[in-house]
Amino acid sequence: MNFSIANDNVIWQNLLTGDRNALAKLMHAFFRPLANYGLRFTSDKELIKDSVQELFIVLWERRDQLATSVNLKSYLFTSFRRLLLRKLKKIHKTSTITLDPIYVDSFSFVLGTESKIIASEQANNLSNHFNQLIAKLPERQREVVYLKFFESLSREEIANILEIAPQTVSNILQIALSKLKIATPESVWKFCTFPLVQLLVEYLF
Amino acid sequence: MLIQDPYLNYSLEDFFWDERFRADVLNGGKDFAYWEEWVKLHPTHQPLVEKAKLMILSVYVDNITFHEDEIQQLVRDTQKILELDYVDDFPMEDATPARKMNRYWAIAASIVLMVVASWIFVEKNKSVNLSFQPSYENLIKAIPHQLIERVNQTNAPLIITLPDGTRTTLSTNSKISYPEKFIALDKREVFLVGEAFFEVVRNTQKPFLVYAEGLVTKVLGTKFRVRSYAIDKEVVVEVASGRVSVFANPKFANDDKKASNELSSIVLIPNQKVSFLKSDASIVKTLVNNPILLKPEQEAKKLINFDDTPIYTVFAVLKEVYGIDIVFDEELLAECSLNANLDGYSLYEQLNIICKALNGSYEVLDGRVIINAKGCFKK
Repeated sequence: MNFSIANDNVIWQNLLTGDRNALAKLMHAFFRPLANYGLRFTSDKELIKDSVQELFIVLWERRDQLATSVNLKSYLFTSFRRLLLRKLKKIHKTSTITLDPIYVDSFSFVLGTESKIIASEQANNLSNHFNQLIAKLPERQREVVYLKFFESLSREEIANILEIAPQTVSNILQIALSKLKIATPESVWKFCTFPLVQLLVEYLF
Repeated sequence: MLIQDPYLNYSLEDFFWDERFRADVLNGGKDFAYWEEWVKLHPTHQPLVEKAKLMILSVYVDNITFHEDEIQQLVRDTQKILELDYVDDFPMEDATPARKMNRYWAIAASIVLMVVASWIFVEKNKSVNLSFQPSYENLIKAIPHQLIERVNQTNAPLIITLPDGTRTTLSTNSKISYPEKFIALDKREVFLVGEAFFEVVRNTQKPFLVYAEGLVTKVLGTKFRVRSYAIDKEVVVEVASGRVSVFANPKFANDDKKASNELSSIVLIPNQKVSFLKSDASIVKTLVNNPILLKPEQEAKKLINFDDTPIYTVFAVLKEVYGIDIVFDEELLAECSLNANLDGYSLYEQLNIICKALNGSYEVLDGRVIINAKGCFKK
């Protein structure tokens, strides 16, 4: 995203005063991060688009009740997560026949399959290895890892989104990372002098 | 003073997390060319850049892509909804007492209207007996408010913009009716006889409904075609993008149909079509006659050039390119592969080529392609 925090805040202020263009700008800027996050819960693209639209319309309707100073990214992720999960729950409830597989997936992500064509064999080995490890993590740990590494959110922001304590986020991350680290054999890192997990840990703490 | 390139001081970690570098690596091609040049200027940094690139490519989340056009369309649609004030600009709390009174009057009036309308409807139903047909005329007669009617009697398609910004291309000898403003809170309703292509402005809170004879087509924001000429025996709905659901109009279904599951809606995805038989309200799902590419042509061209590709991958690519489901026995065909460039052929021609290579055949069933083949020998 090419939006600085200062810029985001200006747009947010404009939105609160009733500027429709500000809403459009925010929607455009945040569509991909929100959609990508939503795709971890369901692969239904139409449902994702509906949910993003609903999120921004509700935002617009409630704009005079919203706080003037807000951590925009974590606020949007929090609201979007709640909205999408509510919709998914409704689909689960109303559908009597067997669910389309696009709705039954719990939070999941797969690394690097798209880039397989261009990536080297080494990179593929590494992503396959990581995929196996990540698939073994419990859902909560997987979601925290995703928000931390692929959305670069802070401990506090993740805590907000998942509605848990910041300390809990740290604990979950530490457990998840130690699992990834222990399970990664030295041979995988041979081509890379700088162990990635080490790097991720350093980046974090 | 010369501003120093900040990338010269970057560590591996910095490169790994740098948004621009990340994006350039993931986009590849032209975007990454900048870095190839940069490395030529600063050869000592080459190993670092290579490593960072490798790491980004291996620890990257694979996402279903949304095209930029798709996103811009969604933003435009949302802006349109706001502009047309379909979303209440003022939350309830802010309404002045006078506005509030008006609201109550409006609610009371609409309840009275609804009661009267349904009474008229019931009375009419009684007098018209069972032969009451869901024709265009009867459908619009049942609507309590004034509708705008547009007719295309020319030889060229007529483009009409509906009050919500939805674009309709009306074919020759076709008629469409719609309200001056979509005032209903929960839906947008139009009535059609003949043929029209709709490009619907997405409004999650207000589904768009097309009534054509006994068939109702319900969408949120998509592109689709409805064909329902009075002389035809069936109503046809074809989907170009998004998702569409169709169901028999419950007002006109007879009682045993109402009781059964047949009234539940059928969901269509791009390149699928349904035929609704007017005589018995039965619905059959198939594929459109000319399935369109859902990916940009250049991208699709590259994908469908197969070079000794496992058949599993071939079908996965076709699924992706046309958005349709292809059913085959994975185990049976595990040893099969395809060596052919399918560019320039229609989907059905492509399936014929593949089936010839597999010494098998295909059929279209319930909007999906079913492959019948016996498998290949191990090479």
